Amino acid sequence: MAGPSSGTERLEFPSTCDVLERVDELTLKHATEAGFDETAAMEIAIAAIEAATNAIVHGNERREETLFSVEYAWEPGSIEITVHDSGRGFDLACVADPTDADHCMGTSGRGIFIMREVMDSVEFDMSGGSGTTVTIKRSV
Amino acid sequence: MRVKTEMKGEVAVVHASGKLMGGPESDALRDEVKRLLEDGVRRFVINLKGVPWINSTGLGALMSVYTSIQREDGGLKLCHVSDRIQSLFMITKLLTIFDTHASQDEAVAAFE
Repeated sequence: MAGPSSGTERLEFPSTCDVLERVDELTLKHATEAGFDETAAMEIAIAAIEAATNAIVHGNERREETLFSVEYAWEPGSIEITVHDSGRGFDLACVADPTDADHCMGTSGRGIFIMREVMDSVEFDMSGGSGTTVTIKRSV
Repeated sequence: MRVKTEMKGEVAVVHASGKLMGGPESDALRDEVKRLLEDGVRRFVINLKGVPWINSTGLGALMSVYTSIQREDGGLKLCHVSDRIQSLFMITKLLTIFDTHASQDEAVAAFE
């Protein structure tokens, strides 16, 4: 088997949860190509799925015809995944900690927490007025 | 998401399969548990053998089912939880909320 490699890939998807399996497959593939082990690749895929879910559900409000993009950049030992939607964004300060006693039984609000738990960095950009971009990164 | 229920004594074993990623596809699970609660069932096992992974909205659907059952003083156990779903429970600190078992028989027996 070949060793870790570098590469980039950018794809656009309709805003339906049906595409999450494809995002999962691609993330596992590229994380493995970057040299992450099976457990780490799975965690990165969990985070990517949350970023894509947010784009579909909250950003593009499940409007299937509105596309969101997923961009991968990987190199030996690290991966960066950027997800962009056309939504209005949100106030990060209003995102509650889902492990707090007041919120732990809630049925929503765990996506960003999950990303932050498994990735080294999670950055949101809602400054351009043209949607929301989240960039998640992890190194071996 | 497809669901199929079999009764094991007083325990309803709900077999779930397919996608549990929130939205309309998760309604089947919520609707089935709601129907069973209305029929007087209070002990539930959800068999996740056919659900390889979920996302946070699917997790929300499981939390919704859990709280519906708790509200009626019922009990919920999960079985055949994949490593990936277990990881999600661990990441979200929900391992202590969900009572998970390796097999369906073990989960049903845990009510005795």
